[in-house]
Amino acid sequence: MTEPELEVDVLTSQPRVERVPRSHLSLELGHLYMEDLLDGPQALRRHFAQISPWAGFVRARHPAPLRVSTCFLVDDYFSQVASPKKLVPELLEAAHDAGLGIDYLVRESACACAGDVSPAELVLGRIVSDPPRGSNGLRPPVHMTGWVSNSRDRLRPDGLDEALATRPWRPPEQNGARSHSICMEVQLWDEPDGRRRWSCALLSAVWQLLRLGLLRHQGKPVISPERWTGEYPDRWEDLPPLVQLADGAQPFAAFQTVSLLETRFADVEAAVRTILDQVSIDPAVTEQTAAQATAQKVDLSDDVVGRISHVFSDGL
Amino acid sequence: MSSATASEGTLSIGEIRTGLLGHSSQLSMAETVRLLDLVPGEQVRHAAYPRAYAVSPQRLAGIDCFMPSRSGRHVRGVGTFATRATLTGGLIVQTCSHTTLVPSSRQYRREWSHYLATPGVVEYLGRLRLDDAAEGFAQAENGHLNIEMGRTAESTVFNLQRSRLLDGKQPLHAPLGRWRWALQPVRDNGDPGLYRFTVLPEGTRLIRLAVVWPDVSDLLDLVEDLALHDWLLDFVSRQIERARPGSGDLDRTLQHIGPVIDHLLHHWMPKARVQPGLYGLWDAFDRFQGLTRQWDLTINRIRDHVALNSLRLVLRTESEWSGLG
Repeated sequence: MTEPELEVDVLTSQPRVERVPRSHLSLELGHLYMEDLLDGPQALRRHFAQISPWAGFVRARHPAPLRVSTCFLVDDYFSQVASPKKLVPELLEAAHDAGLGIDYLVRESACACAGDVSPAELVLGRIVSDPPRGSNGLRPPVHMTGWVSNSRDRLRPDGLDEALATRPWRPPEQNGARSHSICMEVQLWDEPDGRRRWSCALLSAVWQLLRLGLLRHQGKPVISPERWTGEYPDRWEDLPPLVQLADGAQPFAAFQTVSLLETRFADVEAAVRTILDQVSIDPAVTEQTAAQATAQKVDLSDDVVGRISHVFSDGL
Repeated sequence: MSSATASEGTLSIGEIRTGLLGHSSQLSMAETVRLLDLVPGEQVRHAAYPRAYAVSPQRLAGIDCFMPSRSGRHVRGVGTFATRATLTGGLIVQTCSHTTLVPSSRQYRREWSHYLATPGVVEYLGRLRLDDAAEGFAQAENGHLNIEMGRTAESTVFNLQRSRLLDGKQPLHAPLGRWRWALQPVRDNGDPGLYRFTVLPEGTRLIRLAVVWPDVSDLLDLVEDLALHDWLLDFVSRQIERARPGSGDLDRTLQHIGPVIDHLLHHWMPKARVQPGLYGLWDAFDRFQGLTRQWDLTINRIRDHVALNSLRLVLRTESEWSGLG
């Protein structure tokens, strides 16, 4: 007797993740702290004038039919000094005057909390700590320590603790350093008044993952663009987390991102890369994104850090 | 799921812990999905047929340490191992930490994101003798494990047991079953494949297989299924010993056998989650270890015993009635 050919699906419910439409590139036209806005519209004009040549260069590298969407992040998480009613029109006008169009506006607080979901919590749950040499799988998890590091824990004999001061100084050591070390220790949150306050570095890492379309909650994207046409509200929380400002904009999420920033953001962005270096992406999302890239003949880096680029400039 | 594919020069290793959930009844599927939420936002996969079964997403841990070895060789490896938890029949919990060792294409450690792009894979730097590593991990009693997957699998079970979804009132107290395994892929040249099964004095099972099968996650399902049935048989047999059938102590018998009948017997369902192509391996293991034969004997013993005791009760009641008359 020959055996019948059987195909058995042992699990009825395979993970299903929603696909997000993607541009080829997500171009960030800046990131400003609220304090920067106190200088008035002049500061905005100066900013856009500085980055405009770089934006032109990036666009020239991605001519149509390649899809590029632009975005701008407003910090409404750490302070709120200007209302959207006042700021958004100023922002759009200043960009427009420099020949730039902003497709999407994102509130930084959306990286901490978007509806019922905390994108920051999702990312925290996906951090797999970079192991120093000798790590065998037992380390305090990052959700308890609140720090990510790229190096071996060090001893700091700062003279305050006698026991420590008597021990010889040991240099820090970057994990996998080829010859010399550059060590980073990045704080993910603090709790100044008993409530968790996410660090700018973590929120910016979330921001990169949102732009790359790599975050899902139970298979669904955590934020989706909402078109806004009316007058802008007085309070930032009355604005959707991700606002689409222009009709016909290319998709918000993209295969790759580039951010045009002032040089003072270089530290934060180095911290962002340290965090992203340690974020593992949902395998189902990884697989789907790779398939989407192949279908569109996009050459996509396997690791997430390879998909983000920065230009730091204070004007030339 | 692990996307690792077994090929030559690779070795998949892992540890499994099997136990009973600390809860008074079977967990519903909705509760199961909440319990197994090991990675926030990622989906728990589940099936209702042929029996309730759910698998958590996999949580990763990073390592940079020596690889397992019997002889004590020092070969460094960098990468991640993955841990997943499953719940079978809303009651039997299993956690499995596993990884696949593959040769590195470089002689130095790379940036960490490189390793995260292939979850559940460790790249070894240098010459790893696969037999030495497999023996050290899953055959020798005093091999150098070096990777702490067992403790991770165990702490994952303990963390699940502390969940607020559970009432802590389990009908039976079962010890954790411990399995450590190593799977070496081999070329399909008609060899029957290597098979070593060792039971350590404290009860840990070690299994080494050399198999022609490319998909590591299918092999994971197979080993988990073997571990589950081995644990079930072991535990039910112990319960019968405790019940001391034939001692005449009916209460004692009922106390130990009752919950087994109520909660465990129907979970015996060999190969329920095994790919048909791997049935042969399951059967071969069963042939050597006699799982099914022992199980059948055990079940018959329980049923005979229950029948006999019912008969005794009937006779006793009859004699009491006749005594009254």
